[in-house]
Amino acid sequence: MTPSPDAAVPAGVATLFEQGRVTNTAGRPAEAERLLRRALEHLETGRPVPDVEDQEPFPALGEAPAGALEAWVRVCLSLSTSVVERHGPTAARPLVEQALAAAETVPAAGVRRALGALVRSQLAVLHARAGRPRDALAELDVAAEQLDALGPREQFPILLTRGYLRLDVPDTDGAAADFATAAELAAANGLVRQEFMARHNQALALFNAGDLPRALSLMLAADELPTDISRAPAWHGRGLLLLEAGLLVEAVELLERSTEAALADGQEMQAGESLIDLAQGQLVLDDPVAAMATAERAARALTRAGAPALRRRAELVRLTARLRSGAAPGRVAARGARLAEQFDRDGDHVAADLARLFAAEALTRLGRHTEAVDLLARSADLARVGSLGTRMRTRAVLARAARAEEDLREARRHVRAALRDLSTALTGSASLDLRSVTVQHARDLARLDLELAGDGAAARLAAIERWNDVSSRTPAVRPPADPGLARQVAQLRSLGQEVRDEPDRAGELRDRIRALERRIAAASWASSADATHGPRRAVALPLVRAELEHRGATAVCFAEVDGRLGAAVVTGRRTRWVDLGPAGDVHELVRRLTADLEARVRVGSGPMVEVVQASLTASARALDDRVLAPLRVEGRLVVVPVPALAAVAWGTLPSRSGRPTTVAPSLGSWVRGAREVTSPRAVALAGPGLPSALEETGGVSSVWGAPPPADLAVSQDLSAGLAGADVVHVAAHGSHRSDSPLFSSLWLQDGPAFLADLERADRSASHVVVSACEAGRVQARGGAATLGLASGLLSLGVGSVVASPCRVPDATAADVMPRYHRALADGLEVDEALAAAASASDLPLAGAFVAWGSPWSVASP
Amino acid sequence: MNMTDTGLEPLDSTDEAILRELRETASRLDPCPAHLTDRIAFALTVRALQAEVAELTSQAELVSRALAAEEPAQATTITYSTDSTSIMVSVSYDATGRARLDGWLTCGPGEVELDLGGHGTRSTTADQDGRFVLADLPHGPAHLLVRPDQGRAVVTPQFTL
Repeated sequence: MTPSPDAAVPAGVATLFEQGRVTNTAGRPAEAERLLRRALEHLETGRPVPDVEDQEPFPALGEAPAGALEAWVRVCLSLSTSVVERHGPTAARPLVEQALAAAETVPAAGVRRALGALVRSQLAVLHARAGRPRDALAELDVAAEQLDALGPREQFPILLTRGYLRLDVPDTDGAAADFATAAELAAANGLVRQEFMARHNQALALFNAGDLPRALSLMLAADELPTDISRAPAWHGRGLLLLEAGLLVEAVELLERSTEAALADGQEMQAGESLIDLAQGQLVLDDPVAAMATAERAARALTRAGAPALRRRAELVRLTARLRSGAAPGRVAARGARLAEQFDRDGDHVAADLARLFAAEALTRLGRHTEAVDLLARSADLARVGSLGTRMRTRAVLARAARAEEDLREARRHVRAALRDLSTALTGSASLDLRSVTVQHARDLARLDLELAGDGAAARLAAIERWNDVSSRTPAVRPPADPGLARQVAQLRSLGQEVRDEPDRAGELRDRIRALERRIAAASWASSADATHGPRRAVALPLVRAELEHRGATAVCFAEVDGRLGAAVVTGRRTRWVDLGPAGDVHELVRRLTADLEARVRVGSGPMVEVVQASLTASARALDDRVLAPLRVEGRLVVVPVPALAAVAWGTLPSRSGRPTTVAPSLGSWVRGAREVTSPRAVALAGPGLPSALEETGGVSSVWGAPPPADLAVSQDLSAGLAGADVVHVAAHGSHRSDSPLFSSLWLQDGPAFLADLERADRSASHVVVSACEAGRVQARGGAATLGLASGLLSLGVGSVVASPCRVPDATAADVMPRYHRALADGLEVDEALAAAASASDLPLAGAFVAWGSPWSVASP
Repeated sequence: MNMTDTGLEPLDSTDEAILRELRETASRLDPCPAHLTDRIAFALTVRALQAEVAELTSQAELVSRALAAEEPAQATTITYSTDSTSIMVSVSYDATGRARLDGWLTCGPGEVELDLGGHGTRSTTADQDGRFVLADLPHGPAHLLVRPDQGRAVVTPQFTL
C-alpha cells in the first residue's frame, strides 16, 4: 500500500535508504534488499524505525522536504536494483511498475518530473538486463529530457546507464561522451565511487572504439581512486582489455579474481559475465576443455541470476568450446542456429548474428556452404561491421562457399579484402592483441589463400608471403618515456636481485614480484603509441628475387597445407614447391631435437654425455633429412619458418653446419631491414655469474677497437648501448619467460634487464648479439603470435639479432663470440660470420646461435 | 594384588581405553608416513622383478647461460643411476598441461614401462641410442621400469609428473 501524498517520512527511513544505496553500490545486494525492505515497511506503516537515527533528512528532489510518497517511490527503485542483482529483471518489474503508478500521483510538479525520470531510467535498466537494449534506450531518452529536474546524485546513474546502452547498440562515441560527463559530474560533487564507475566505463567505451592504450591508462587511474566499491566489474573490464592485449595469462588470472569477488558479494549476474569471458580467454589459450567447464559454470550462475539472455551467451561460448574439442559440427551448427533465433526473439541482434556466424562456420566444415551463406544472409553485413575477428571469420565462410561453387575469382576477392582489412588494422596499433587475432582468424584465411593459389609454386609463394609479411610488419610506433613506469621496473629489478642474493626469501617475495609485474605489464600496454611514420610498404617479389640473386642466397618459405608441411624454394631465377610430408611428424622431430639440446647442456661429464650426444646427432640428422634434404639447398639460406619451426637452432643441423643461414619472419622484412654500416661503434657488456663473460667481452671489444669493459654492466649500460652504439654485444645469463614474455630478461649487475625495459629506450643499434641462453626462444601468444627476447628486439626495430633458441654452455659462447665479431669486422655478413665462427669451434652446441632478421655487414672503408 | 599380577590378567575396558589413547597419541605425534603401504608394495614388486633400484644422482652440468630461475613451463631434468646404468628423464608440459617425458638410457636399447599409479601403465621402446619418448601423460606420481636388451632391469624411485 502506498503512503498518502501528505504523510511525512518516518524517522530512521532516511538512514536505511542511504545505507541501502551504499550497499547496493558496493555490490552487496542481499544486505541492501534487507535494509530497503525495512525502509519500505516503515514508510507504509508510518512508524519510526526503532534504534535507527537520521543524521540527515530524506534527500528531497524538490525545494520542500521529501514526503513519504516521494520517499516510497525512491526506496522502491533502489530496492528494485537489489532485486535485479539477486533475482533478475522479471522479478524486479512489478516493483518498478508500482513506483511508476505512485510517481504519477505526487502533487508537486517538479518532484513528479524528477521521479518520472528516475522511474524511466530504472525501467531502462530492466529492459537492458533482459537483453532489449533499444527499448531501454528509448526509456532513457524520455528520462534524459527531465534531467534538469534532478540533482547530481540522481543525474549520474541516468548518464551512466545511457552510456552502457549506447555501448551495446553500438554507439561508442556517444557512450564515451556519456561516461565522461558522468565522471566529471561525480568528480565535481565529490562522489568518488561514482567517479570510479564512470571512469572505468569510459575506458570500456574507448576500448570498444579501439583505443586500447588510453582505455588501460584510464582504468589504472580509476583503480587509484580510494573507494570501497566492489572491484568485480572493474577487474572484469580490465581482464577483457588484457585479453585483447594478448596478455592472456594475466587476463585469465584477473577474470578469475573478478569471478571470486563477485561470488563473495552475491553478484551472480556479474560472476556469470566474468565467467563467460574467462571461458573465452581459455579458448584463446587453446584449452577448450577448461573453457567448456567454465562456460557451464557461467550458465549455472546466470540461471540462478535469472538472466536468460546472458545465459544464452554462455551457451554460445560452450558450443564453440565443444566444436573445438571435437563435437560433431552438424549438431553444434543446429544448436547455434536455434540460439540465434532465441537471441533474435530477445531483441539481442548482435548476439544473434554471432551465433549465426558460428553456425555458418560449423556448416562450412561439413561442406554445407549454401546453408552457411543463407545463415549469413540473415545477419548484418558481418564482413564490414563488428570486430576484426568477426569480419575475417565471415570472409572465410564466404570465400570457402565461393570456392565450392568454383567461383575462384570471388573467393580470392574475399581473401584479399580480409588481408587489406587486417593490414589497415595492424597499422593503427602497436599492440599484441591484433597479432593474436591475426593468428586466430588470419591463419585460416592464409591457408585458404594458399589453397586458392593452386599448384603453381610462384602463386603459392606469393600467398605465403602476403600473410607472413603483413603479420610480421611491426608498426613503427614507440611509447613515450614514463618516469613512473621506469621506477616500477627499477623496483622489480631490485626485487629480482634480492631473490638471487637470498634464495630463501623467494617465496616471501613472489607475490610482490607478481603484483609489480602485473602493474608494469598493464602500464606498458596503457602507453599511447607515438607514431613516427606510416606502415612499411610490401616488398615486391621481383625485388626479393633480385636481392637473393645479389647475395647468392636461396630462400625457403615453409607452410602447412592440409596437415602437410611444404616449402617454396626461391632463388633469383625460379621458385619450386616441395612437399615435406605430414606436419605432425615434423613437430615431433622438433620437440625431440629441443629436448636433446636441453639435455646436452645439462650433462658435463660421464657416460651420459655420449648417449645424449649420439641422440642429438640422430635427432638433428632426422630433422635435417625431413625438412631440408628434399629442398636440395647448398649454399646461403634464408628460412621463413612456420611457428613449429620458429625456434630451431638451424646451425646444429648437419647440412647447415658451416653454412650461412638466416631466419626471417618474411622475405619482405628480410629485404627491408638490410643494412651496411660504416665504422660501427660497438659496446660489449658482461653480466655476473659467468666465468668467461669478461674474457669474451674483452675479446669482442678489442675486435672493434673499443675499450674493454672494466666492470660488469648494469641495465643503464644496456639502454645507453642500444641508444648510442651500432653493435651491442651482451654476454649474460638469459631467461625466457613463457608465461609472460615481456619479462624475459638478461641478468646484469643490478638485476634483470627486462624486455619491458627496452620498449621505451632510444635505439640506434642495428645489430644486437645476445650471447645468452634462450634469447631466441619464442612464446606463442594465442597461436602463432610470438614474443621472446630476439623477436622482441626485432619488433622494437633492431634489424639484425644473433641469439640462441636453447641453452648454451658458457665456454662455447666465449669461444665462438670473439671469433664471430672478428669475422664481422673483416667484412663478412652476419650469417657468414656466424657460420664461420661456429664451424671453427669444436665445443658442444657451437651451432646453436641463430642469425635473425635481415642482412647486416660492415662497409669496407 | 600387585602390579605384576595385573599384567597377567585379561585386558579389560580400562586397558582398551589406555591402548586406544596410546594409539591416538602415537599416530598424532609420530604418524605412519603417507604412502608407506604403497611403497612397501612397490618394494615387494621390485624384489619380485629382481630389478635394481636406481638412485637419484646429480649429473655434472656444464655452466650454461641460463638462470636456474623457476620457469614454470620449463623442462625439469633428473638423473637416476645404478652401478651399471644411468637413466636421465626430462619432463615438460604442453599448452593443455599434459606431460611429456623425454628419456635417455646409458644401457642402449630396451623396453621402457612407465607406471602412472592409478592411471595405469604406458610402454615404449628405447632406440639404439637409448632414447625414448612418452607423451600426453596425466599429472601425478610415476616411476619407470627399464628392461635393457642386455643386463638387469632397473627401476627408478617415484617422481611426480
